[in-house]
Amino acid sequence: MNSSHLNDFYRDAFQELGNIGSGNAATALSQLVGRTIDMSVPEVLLIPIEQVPDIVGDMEKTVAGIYLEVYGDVPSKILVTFPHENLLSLTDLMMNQPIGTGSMLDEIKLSALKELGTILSGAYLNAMSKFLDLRMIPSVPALAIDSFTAVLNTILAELSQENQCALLLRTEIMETENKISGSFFLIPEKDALETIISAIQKASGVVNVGEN
Amino acid sequence: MLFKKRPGWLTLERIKVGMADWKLAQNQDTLVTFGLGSCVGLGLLDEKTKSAAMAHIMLPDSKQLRFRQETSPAKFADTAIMIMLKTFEKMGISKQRLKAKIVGGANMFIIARSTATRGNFNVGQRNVAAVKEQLEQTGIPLVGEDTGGSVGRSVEFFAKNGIMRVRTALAGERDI
Repeated sequence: MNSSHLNDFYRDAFQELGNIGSGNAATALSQLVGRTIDMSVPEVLLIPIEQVPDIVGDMEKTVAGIYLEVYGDVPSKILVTFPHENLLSLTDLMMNQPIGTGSMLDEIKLSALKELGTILSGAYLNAMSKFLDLRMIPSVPALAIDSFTAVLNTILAELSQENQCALLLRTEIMETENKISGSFFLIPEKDALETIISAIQKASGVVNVGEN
Repeated sequence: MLFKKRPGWLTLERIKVGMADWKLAQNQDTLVTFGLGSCVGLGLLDEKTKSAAMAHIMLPDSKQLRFRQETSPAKFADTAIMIMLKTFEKMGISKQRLKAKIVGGANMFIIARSTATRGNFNVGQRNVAAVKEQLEQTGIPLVGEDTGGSVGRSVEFFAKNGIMRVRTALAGERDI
């Protein structure tokens, strides 16, 4: 899969995968913070890596980026981002404190953010791996608080060593009461794409789908 | 660029350099690139003609890839320098007149994993080393540098004086 072309069947299938994964992740987050969590319809992008920053956008926004790698049958990368201005409210919610309690991001809060990345990824991957009957194991999380573009570009540079195009599954999650939002990206690597596609074929009973 | 410049007009342009891209600027123009994480911004400057070029380099070496890529030469340290020098040469600027500045090459995420199976994740460090090696080979002096660490950087490179203004999300800005 080297072209930026993805036919409608697979686009829909990837979107559904994103739905299954992020639905489970949103539920996990909702249970963790005891609030209602909304999520967007997952967005599926298959584009040359160099074009990703312009399309995914929000260049100069400062975020907490939690990065995990996925091992097993579907080697992928996961990036979860939360806007910098939301971090204290978010960690307050996680620690079951009234919003506004936390005044600075100390070690405990940073580690809570990493843990949040692990919980969301775990829930996402669990649902997806059950659906596809594939093994997906997340690595330990790494955290950077920096500009969104710098965080994203670093992952893209790593990805570009073996891929020309990036498939991105993006879902936005929102806690409406305190206007806390986050983005979840699943980025399968080149080999993983083919594995996912044949697993989708198996799961949906489709033998062969034309390239149009 | 929306319109062509005419000589004598006072025009201030900010020319955006995307990922794996490179651009030229002259006189009052400014080259900008965003979000250098592990990527390296390489700026070359000829003071005499106030000509500047900047590349947003993603990877150290075009020859190490396991697959063929149809992509911009500015993606790799080795091919980026080559294309920039060739363009300067066409403009009548020999490499002896050029000076270089580099920014970026941070290690934003530290992830534990076997380096034997997946190589070195620290693309940033390798990018900086590769660019420096290319500069050494071509004999272009490195006159300014803000590299490494774990912070992302954005850069403005002013053609008129060769100053690179480096901005970070939370750690302020500095000129090199």
